Amino acid sequence: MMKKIFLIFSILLVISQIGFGQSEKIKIELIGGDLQKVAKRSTLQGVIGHDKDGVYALKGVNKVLKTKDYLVEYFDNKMNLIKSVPLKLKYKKNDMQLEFILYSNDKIYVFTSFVNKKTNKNYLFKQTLNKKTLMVNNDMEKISEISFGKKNTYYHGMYDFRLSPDDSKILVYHALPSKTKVKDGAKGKVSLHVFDKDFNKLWNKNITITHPEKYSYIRSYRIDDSSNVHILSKLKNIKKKKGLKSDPGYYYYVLSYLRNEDQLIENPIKFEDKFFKNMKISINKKGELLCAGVYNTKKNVNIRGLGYVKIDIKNKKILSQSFNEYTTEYINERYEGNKKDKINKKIAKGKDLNLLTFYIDEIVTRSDGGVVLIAEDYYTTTRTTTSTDSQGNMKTKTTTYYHYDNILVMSISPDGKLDWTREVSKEHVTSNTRLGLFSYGFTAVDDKLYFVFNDHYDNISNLGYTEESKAYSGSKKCNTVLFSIDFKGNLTKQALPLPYDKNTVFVKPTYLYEFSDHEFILFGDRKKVNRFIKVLIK
Amino acid sequence: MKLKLLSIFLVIFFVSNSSLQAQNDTIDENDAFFDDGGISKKKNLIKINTLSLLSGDLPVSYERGFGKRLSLEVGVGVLLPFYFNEIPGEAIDNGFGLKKRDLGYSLTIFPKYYLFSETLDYVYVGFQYRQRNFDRNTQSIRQNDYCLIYGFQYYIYSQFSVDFSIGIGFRFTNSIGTIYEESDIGVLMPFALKFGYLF
Repeated sequence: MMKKIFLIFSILLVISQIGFGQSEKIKIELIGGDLQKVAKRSTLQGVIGHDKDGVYALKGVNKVLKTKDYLVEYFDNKMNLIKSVPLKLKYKKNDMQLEFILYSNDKIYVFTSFVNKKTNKNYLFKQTLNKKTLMVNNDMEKISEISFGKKNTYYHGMYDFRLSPDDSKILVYHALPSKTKVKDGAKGKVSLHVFDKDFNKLWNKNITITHPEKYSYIRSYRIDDSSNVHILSKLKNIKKKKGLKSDPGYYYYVLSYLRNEDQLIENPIKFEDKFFKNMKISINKKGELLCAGVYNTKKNVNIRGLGYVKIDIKNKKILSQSFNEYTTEYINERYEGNKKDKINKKIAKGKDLNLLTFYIDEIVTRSDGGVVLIAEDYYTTTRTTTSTDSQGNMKTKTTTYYHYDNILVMSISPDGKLDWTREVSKEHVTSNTRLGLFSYGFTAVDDKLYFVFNDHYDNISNLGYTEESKAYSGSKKCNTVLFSIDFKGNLTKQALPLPYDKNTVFVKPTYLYEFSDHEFILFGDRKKVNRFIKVLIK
Repeated sequence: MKLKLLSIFLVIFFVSNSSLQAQNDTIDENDAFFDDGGISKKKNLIKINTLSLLSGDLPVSYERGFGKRLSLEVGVGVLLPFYFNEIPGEAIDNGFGLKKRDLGYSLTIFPKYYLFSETLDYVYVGFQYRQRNFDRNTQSIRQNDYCLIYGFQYYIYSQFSVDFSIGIGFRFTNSIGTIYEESDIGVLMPFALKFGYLF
């Protein structure tokens, strides 16, 4: 049966390729692995990494009334399952918790933690995983510990990691837990552990955050190729002017720890006439700090756009900046006639319409020093419905809907000039985000950006947003779409030739994994089966 | 009845202690990080509910963890001759003042599911069945309580626990006597503050 399904799948792929070969669209080839039967509650946690022979993946199996079990799986280059082994999370009968798994320099490292309630410490351990047997080796080593104190019996801290852009450095970090009640002036601390790609320790450092913990919230960590660590934080502005709607009441700052100089430098991302509502940071090869986010102007909370700032960290100097107001285009594209007039009147009055709800997902550095910003329009709405049952009882139900709409791509030159803006049209609405069918996956292959997302199958002929566009809400009326943008901003859209019949799987685009310079991997599942699909860009 | 109850306690106690796992013989440098005096393997709690003294109930309960998230609490209590009516049902119907009755006993069975942490730690939800038997004014009264409970268990110095819970449910009361027989259903909102010891 399994072979039959795969055969049908293969035939369909061949037919599709003939079709695409004749058009001017991107030439692709799909390699779909066998359908894999799995437990119903099995979900992909992520692709761990790959070598020349295949791909390693981590799956989680949710158990009823029990904690999750994990499986390490190995797939060959044809995406067929070779081996699946339960991940052992025990040390001499002591249960440990899986923190993360990472792939570095052709080795797989498993990180587990153990909460010791006698010493009141949460220990982090590292073990290598044997790539042949998929079992952990007997080389467990403690690499960090969090002291959570006698009173903190539930929150034991959390570990995470980041890789430098060239994968040569690994940062393992955790915030040191504060006392239950944070005093006004008390400052937060973070613990940083930096390793090379073979996991040799380079340095450790505990850093005190420059602002009081009560008002400063860490948003993200980055490590650059020179092993400097950069922490993006959001600082509550306690001096906010009352009544100024455009001021969100906070601003972002980046705290950089420069290893060679043993120096802590703070760069506030703050402007007199503009306020960033959200932010993402990146570091380019020159060690310059790149910050991007959605901003609104001081004059009007609805005048919004995507802002970008390049900063010389040491000299605290802005090297280039780019603020691109996008509200007008947004309104022109979505609204017509009276509705557009009404919205413009409301904007003039300064009423907050929450128009531009984009969040930056990626800052891609261009080879010439410029950047490409990628953002997705994400927001939630609620709907309350009232119904009456057969006995005359009124029932009210409120549902939250999650919207993952258009993708905005902005290309900015090294001097901060806007080269082009493109909006990739999509509309996803769901009340169940766990389905994992929404949002998008992204990769850069050669000189193009590729986006993969699920779309309603009636939308395939529409390149941009039209009145006829239909929202995708997880229904079976689905096409998985490959959208590409080249360095000049030219768009192409095509459906991936995946057969959406009862025998196949639905692609979960956020699990997209970059396999090589011209290949990426998609994962799809459906009830009790799943499959990896390799996409080759020709 | 008392004999049955004792035998249940003995069986649970025996099973819990016999399942304590022996330590591995080999010792290496990582052992020190896992030496927590066996706290992570301790699955038994003995508790006293203090707030229920208001309703004239002095129960002692035993909680045993099963697997990662489940536990079962069983309890037996002495019903004291002085008590306040419980809220909201009885307090509304008969007032909140101090009442009198004969000595009695209570039994509780309370399966729980821990939501965010391992068994016997932090937030849990559960279904509690409690039975109270006592005499009042020549009437024999049996109360059967069925409640959904939401609670929070916290540890002080590793082995001493504080368990606070609130809930909502129904109380079915049967009153049998020489003068009259009566059945009643009322709403119950139990809350508890228990102090325990982990072993």
